[in-house]
Formats: sequence, structure tokens, C-alpha cells
Amino acid sequence: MNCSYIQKYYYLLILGFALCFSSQALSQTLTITGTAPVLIINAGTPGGQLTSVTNQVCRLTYGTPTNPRQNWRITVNTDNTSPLYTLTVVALNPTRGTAEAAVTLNSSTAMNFITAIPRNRTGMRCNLLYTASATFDQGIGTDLHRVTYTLLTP
Amino acid sequence: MKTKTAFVLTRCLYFLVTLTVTIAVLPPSVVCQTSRSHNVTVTVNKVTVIAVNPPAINLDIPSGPTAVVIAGVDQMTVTDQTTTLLWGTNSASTKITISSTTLATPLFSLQAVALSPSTGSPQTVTLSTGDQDFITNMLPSSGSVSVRYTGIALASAGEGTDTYTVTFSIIGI
Amino acid sequence: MKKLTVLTAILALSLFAFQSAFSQSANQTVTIEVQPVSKISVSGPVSLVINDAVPGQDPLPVSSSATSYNITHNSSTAGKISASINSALPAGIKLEITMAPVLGTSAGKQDISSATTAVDVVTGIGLGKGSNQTITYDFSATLAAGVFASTVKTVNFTVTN
Repeated sequence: MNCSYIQKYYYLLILGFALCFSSQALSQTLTITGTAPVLIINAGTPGGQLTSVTNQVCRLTYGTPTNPRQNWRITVNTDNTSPLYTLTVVALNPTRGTAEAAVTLNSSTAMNFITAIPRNRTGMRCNLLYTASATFDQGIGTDLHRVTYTLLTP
Repeated sequence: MKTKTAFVLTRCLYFLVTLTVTIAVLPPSVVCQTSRSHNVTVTVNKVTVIAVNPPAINLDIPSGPTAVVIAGVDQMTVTDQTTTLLWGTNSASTKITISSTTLATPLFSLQAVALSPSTGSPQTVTLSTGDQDFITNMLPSSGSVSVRYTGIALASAGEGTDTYTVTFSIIGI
Repeated sequence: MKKLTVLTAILALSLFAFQSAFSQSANQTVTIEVQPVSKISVSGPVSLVINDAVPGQDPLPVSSSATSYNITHNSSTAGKISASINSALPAGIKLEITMAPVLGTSAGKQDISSATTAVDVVTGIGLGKGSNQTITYDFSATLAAGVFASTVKTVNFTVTN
């Protein structure tokens, strides 16, 4: 009787073992490390504008699987679609892939951040360079962003 | 023969069911997309800044190009509009004040006014040691404005020189 | 205790930064220099016509106080007003002026008939101003001078330290 059950469901067993032992080869990885950025603008030029500030404390680390057999990309977006001030982000010196132009974070639409990321690589990384800018006539206040990075295939 | 066919069909059915169930519960890491998020905060604090150019000017009577001396009139005047006052403020309401150093025995008086600033209300001020409102009710803005100084001397006071240190202050309210 | 010390330090620094962003000042040096000033203006013109006489005597002289002068003077050095004529009058024709002595001392009636070089008419002028001060012209002629056709003369007034 037992042999009959094993015979019936051995496909399931084979697939299960395959999943367990090949998860590393099948899955991609993406992590953000570093203290959540807080950019404070507190200086400016008479007759000019407020002084922009930058933060590049955080690091993005990413890895790609063997399959599918194509390049990967990372996109970025924010949940704050009506910010008071301008916040941009750009990938700083990615070890793999091509950094796209700085993205202005004012939309929930995912924008290309790093493209042409090769498959079957681990430990790829870049720093996240955030730049905050504002004008005097925009007044005083605070913007909160939940910034999301997504690693995906084209 | 019939038994063998049934066996093969059954195994195929089991495989399809297994495959379907597996895909249905497949962990997200095997699907081609992974996301991570973090918080980013942008804060703009109150900033009020001011500058004045040039650092020094001279008003000369009667040699200044705008000096006014009229025979039979005691008061003589000279004006200067070469000063530029620059500011930047993101405060909801801002004002600029003006004051000058104390002269023990001033011979002459000095007036100042901002000429048509892009924001706020200008005041014509006769300088004294206390802070006086120079431009009031300024909105968040950045800009520059010409300042006209008027030196006023009386012939009956004689000749001489007065040197003032004029201080412009910007205050965010 | 350590946490309280750190918190206090952070709060103090925050307040300092807060005040610095609140106000700012800029300085400028403004110098007013008043040099010696002496300025005079006169009204005019004035017309002087001799057209009457007493039989057997020189023609009757005429006088005019219709014109005036204004002056502003701020020098600690006493000033003076001098007058000259652009070209001398013929012999027998006399032009004299007297200026009211505001701020100074009048030199009295001064003959400027041939004063192509200026003569002092008011001296010792001090600080201040004077306006609408009278200039008196006295015009006379002798019988021997004959007829003196209408002629325009220019009298120059100069105020100096």
C-alpha cells in the first residue's frame, strides 16, 4: 500500500526536492542596507536658492539567478506622488549593470534605475545617492517617501 | 495492455495535478520580481539670509553727481542708488529691519528706502540706532532690490564727514 | 545620566541651529562728506533809464531795488560776495550797487562802472543761507557824457571763501 502511494506521488516528491535544493539557482536577491536617509535643507544664498543636500549612506545589494536567460533591471518608485520638494535618486557606481539617469521621485510609476544587469551573478551592489532640493518660495515642511526598488526581468 | 495504458494515463494525470499545485503555491522568489523598500525623509527648515553690496559707499556734497545745493536754501541733499540688498526667506512672513551705529555728534542725517521690492512693503527710514522696519510682510521668496540713500546736510551745520555702519537684518516671523 | 547629557546637548545644538536660521544681518559703511559750499543766484534783468533832468543840472539819477539774490554758504571760513561788470561804462556814466548784508557785512554802495576786476560788496559771510536779499542799483550820468544809447551790460556776482 505504501509503495502504491509513493508510486502515485513520486512526481511531487521529485519536484519538492528540486525546489529545496535548487532555490538558490532559481531566485533573485535584493537588499537595502544603511540607516533610512533623512535629508535636511537648512541653508541658502541671498538672491539665489536653498542649498541642496545629498545622502549616499544606503547600499543596494542584488543578485540574479541562472534562469531566465536574459538581463535584469531594477526600477524605483515612491508612494509620495505630490511631494513639496524635489527628491532624486541615482545609482552610484554599480558593480554590475548600467546606472540610468537620476530619477525624480514624485510618481508611483516604476522608473528604470539600473539596467542591463547580467544573470547568474551574486553580490552586485551600488550606493544610493539621494539629492533633495527646494526653493525659498516653497516654504517650510517635510516630505515622507516610501521608496521601493524592484529587481525584475525586462 | 489495457492495464498498462491506464497506468500511463494515471501517471500523466498525477503529473499535471502536481505541476498545477506546485505552480500555484510557488514561492515568490522563483517568480521574476523582487521588491524592497525603505523610508526617505526630506525636511526643509526655516532659512532667512541677507547680503548687501557694495560693502561701502560715499555720498558727497557738493561734488556727488546727484548733490542738490540751491542758493538760498539751507538744506543740501545727495542721493545714491548703487546699493543692492539681496535676501532669501522661506518663512511664512518675514521682515527686514535697518539700524545704524551711534555717532556722538552727527552733523548730517541719512535716509534709506528700498525701491519697489518684489515682495513686501517698503518704508522710508531716517536711520537711528534702534532697529526700524525697512521692508515688512515679505512672502517666502528670494530676490534683490536697490536701496536709495539720501544724505541730508544743512549749510548752517558747516562742513564735515559722518560715517555710519548700516546694519540690515532679516527676521523670519 | 549619560542619556540625559546627550539629549541635552542635542537639544542645545538644535536650538542654536534654529536661531541661526531665524535671522541674519549684513553691514554696509555709508560715509557722508560735506565739503565747503558757496552758492549764489540773482534775479533779473534790471532796466535803468535816465530820461529826466532839472534845467541847468546833470540828468536825474535813477535807482532800482527790484532785483534780489540768494546765497548758501557752509564753510567755516568766512565768505564774501564780489561783483564785476563785463565791460567798463564810458566816462561820465556811473553804475553803483548795494547788496543787503545777510550772513555778513555790506561794503555799502560800490561803484562798478569800470569794475572789470571784481570788487567786494559783502564780506564776512558765515554759515547758513539768505534768500530774496535786495540788490540796489544806482545809475547816474553827467551832462558831459551826452546820450548813452541803450546798452546791455552783464554784472557778475561771485561768492568765495
